[in-house]
Amino acid sequence: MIIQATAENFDALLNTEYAVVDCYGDFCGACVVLEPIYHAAAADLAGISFIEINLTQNWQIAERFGIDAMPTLLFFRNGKEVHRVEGSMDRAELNRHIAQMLYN
Amino acid sequence: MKTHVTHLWDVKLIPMPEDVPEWRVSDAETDALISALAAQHAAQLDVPAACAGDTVFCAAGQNLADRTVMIYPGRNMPGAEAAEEALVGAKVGETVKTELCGSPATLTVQRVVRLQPATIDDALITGEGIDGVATVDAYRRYIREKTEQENRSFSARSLSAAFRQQLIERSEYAVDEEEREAWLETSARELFDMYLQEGIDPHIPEDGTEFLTDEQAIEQFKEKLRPQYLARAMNRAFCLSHGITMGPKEAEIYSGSDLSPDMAEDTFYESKTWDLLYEIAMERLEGEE
Repeated sequence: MIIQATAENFDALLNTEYAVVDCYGDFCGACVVLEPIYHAAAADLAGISFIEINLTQNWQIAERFGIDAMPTLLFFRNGKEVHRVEGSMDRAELNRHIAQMLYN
Repeated sequence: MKTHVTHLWDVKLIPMPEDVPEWRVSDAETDALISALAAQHAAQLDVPAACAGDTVFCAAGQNLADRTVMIYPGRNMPGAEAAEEALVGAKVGETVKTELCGSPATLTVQRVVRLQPATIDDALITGEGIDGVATVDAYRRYIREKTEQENRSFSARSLSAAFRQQLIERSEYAVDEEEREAWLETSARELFDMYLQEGIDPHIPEDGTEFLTDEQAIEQFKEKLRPQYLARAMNRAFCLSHGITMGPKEAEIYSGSDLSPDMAEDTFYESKTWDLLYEIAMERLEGEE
């Protein structure tokens, strides 16, 4: 299940052991490519909060986290950012980044 | 601008490239989208023992700072392949010695969750809250159209880039060499200053290891900018051929972002060219049906 975040509820949604955030934007082709891959991972991997946030509408988050590329995936453990990656990717690559959050 | 296009290539004559991504959604792909919705609404069932496809919640001890660690048998998560294999058949409460990321790990199974895809029915579709979509059939049409719209928009972007490149290459120009050199010189120096302002060192060479002098760095920028010179003339001609000119109102808007009048004009015509080509690309894709 994907959770749609806004600047207002963002911090509350990170209050979990593992969270991944897909920071996407309007008119972003690479974001469209990543979306179904991200959704498939969310539907497959229990125990991780999969969150999406539209940076075009929530630019404060982009400023706060120093995001200058879309899509950017942010990985959090207990609310603390532990990893990030920019750009679209296939499922194997996404799994690699999720594993980094889980097992390192 | 003294340099101008003497013959603007007709965009209608540019053939469709062979590598334009397919944007139409087949019946099988629509079925897959429906299955994805079922998976997104899957129920989490607790089961006594793990098998491939399950999520196994484990206590990993101090090696991983007492965190709960999820192992996903069958997914080949990098670093967890051995643990995934070792946990198949493990029961809740059982402790398994294996390895994670190449290090020994002792995992105690706390919970095993199996995802059971939801049944797609009208009630679930209504719960999605999509305007005017309350039945499975309506959702099928909706998701197909939505995905095709996204795909077409994506394809149109790559197609408009191909059209623009062809227009630049196939159009003919009367080039004022003096003006071209003056534009390259000014633009390269502006770019050099912009790099410095942004804290990026413009003296780093594209190839080689020795740092560039100021003049060498500016020469490097000039070479990078050279292809854009004809693109400027083409953008302008293409917009004019579609009745688009930069009026005082647009000049005010585009100069407002600290651009010189020349750069504001270039930005305006480039932006409008992209818009026009995107529309043309969308029409061409629809015409391919």
